[in-house]
Amino acid sequence: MSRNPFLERLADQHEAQIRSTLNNLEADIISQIGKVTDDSGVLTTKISIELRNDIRRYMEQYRIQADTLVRDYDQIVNSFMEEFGELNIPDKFKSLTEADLITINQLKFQSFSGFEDIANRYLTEINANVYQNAIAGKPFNEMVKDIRGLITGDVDRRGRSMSGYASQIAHDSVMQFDGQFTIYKAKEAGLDKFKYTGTLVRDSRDHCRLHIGKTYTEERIREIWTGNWAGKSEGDAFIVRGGYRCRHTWLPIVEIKEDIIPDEEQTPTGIFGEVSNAEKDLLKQAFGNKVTPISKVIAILPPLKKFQKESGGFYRSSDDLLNMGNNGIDEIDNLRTFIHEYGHRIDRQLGAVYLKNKESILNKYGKNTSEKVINRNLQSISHLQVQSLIDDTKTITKDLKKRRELFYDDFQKARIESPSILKKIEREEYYKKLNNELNVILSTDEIKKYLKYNLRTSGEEQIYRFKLKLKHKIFESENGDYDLQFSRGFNDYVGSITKNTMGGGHSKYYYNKSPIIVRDGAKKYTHRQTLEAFANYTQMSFDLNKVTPVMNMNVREIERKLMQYYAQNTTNSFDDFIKEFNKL
Amino acid sequence: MIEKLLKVYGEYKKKYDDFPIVTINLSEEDQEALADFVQVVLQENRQITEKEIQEFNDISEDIDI
Repeated sequence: MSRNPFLERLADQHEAQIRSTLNNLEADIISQIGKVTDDSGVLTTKISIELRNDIRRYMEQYRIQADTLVRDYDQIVNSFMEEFGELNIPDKFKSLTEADLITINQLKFQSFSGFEDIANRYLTEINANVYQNAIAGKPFNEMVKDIRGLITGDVDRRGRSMSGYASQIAHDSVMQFDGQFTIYKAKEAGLDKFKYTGTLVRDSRDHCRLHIGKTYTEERIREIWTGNWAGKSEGDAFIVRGGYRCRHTWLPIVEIKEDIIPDEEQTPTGIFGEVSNAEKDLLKQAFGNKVTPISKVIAILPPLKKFQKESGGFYRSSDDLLNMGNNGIDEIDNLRTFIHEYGHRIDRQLGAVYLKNKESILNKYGKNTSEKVINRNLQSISHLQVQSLIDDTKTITKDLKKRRELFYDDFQKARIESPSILKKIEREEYYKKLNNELNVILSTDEIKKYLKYNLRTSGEEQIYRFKLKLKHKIFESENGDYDLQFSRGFNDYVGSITKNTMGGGHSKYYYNKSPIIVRDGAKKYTHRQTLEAFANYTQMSFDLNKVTPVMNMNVREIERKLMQYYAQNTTNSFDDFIKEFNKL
Repeated sequence: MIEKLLKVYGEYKKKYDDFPIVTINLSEEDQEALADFVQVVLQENRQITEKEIQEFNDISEDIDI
């Protein structure tokens, strides 16, 4: 679970726990007063003073509970460190030092003090109230009313009840502890940019609505937080955030700097050859700043003629227009589209060379291409490898229905024998054991990383489900739907090869709306299938794999294994293209 | 894909085997409009026409999405 939902859940749990403790405290105090009142239901002043020891003893329940809650903050540290560990920062900041542990304890102590202050304040108030009621000779039921008003606030009473204060503190302390630890660790690692994150709910403050999802420097945050808004609470911007009961958090952001590229990889400009101004920076961002097979092939292409960044991405070969689109969820996503479209461009531009001089291209990219395919005269190099798509489709769709049934049988069997979902720990242990016993092409750690990359839950049960898919070589979807445990690119890759019998992305209509390269029995393999397969191959092989600006997660090797496993022939054919690019 | 589109997308595909419009890279606004449109098509008990597909995706032969 990512940090924000985890924090929200913990804050809610703590709030519920403290309320329950105070309900018990109230019941115990009322019961004790009931025991010591005389037959007429009145309390003597002497006994009311003696009662103070009992009330103090009962208040210990609350202190013990507060102590338990604060000890729970180790979970906040773990959750933060897990997320922090994914950042592109030196490893030395990714573990806890002795100084960190001292700071954590200080912060915990500070949080406990907040609970303690309330205990002291209400202990005094409750004692005073009991004593005054004894002097006034108030009957038992009147005293009960007052106690309830003070502790849980069940009865109308001026001022807030102990439960009202304590539950707010229980909630806010979780978020504030996280805020304090976040800024402390971020500063230690030299980070000064933060993104305001979390979900918006119906009653979110306008201030939070305005800033959610935005990234600012620490200086700018402090400047913005000097303003006023409804529900603001005084204090440090990183600690109080939107105000009381605010559910939002600050996320440290690592800037992707050019200077993180080692010196030996720095090359003079021009590794991509002659390029247009529009594509110059994007090529560097997309494919890196060092000479690779991709930079070599781009270097032999003419500069891009037209560039757009509007709506959905596409590449149009007739006038060499690349539209990288702007519908991505962020710039990384738009860059991913750029890489995909550039894959099309490489394929189509080399295809243009092929149409002029077939021999030169066939010698490199179509050594085994049949005459039938050559005679189709299509503008791409990917179509020369259509046989690989045919071979992969045959392999992957053979007995597919049976394999899917076996997958469901295995998964159902595991479910039936699993402990109840209410027994979380036992259930995790159960699936962990199954995972240890089941070996597939990816390790458990690799699967966990891949699921995180795809923003999926990565508990033991989900890992087992994924392992079973690999065991039976299936996707858990049919006819063009995504299987979200796999990446969008990989779904589309397999979808293009099998025309959505497995995987999905582009529609069957889209694939069929292009020339048929070859027929194999009843199946028609079209030009758009090979074009999309190569564009997705490029996207997966050269994507910088940054899920978000803070999650620099490289899953390229994992996807290489998946590509080889599900579509060995197509992947090998395109790998051979890359080897040829490298010779340029 | 937005929830609203996902629902009619699945319904359409179940009925006609394929959802002809490529939804990759469609903006949320376009997805919203597409969802409303598919809702109508389903009510009219018919398939999406080529002309209608073209309104959402320019899929001229020399365009690769």
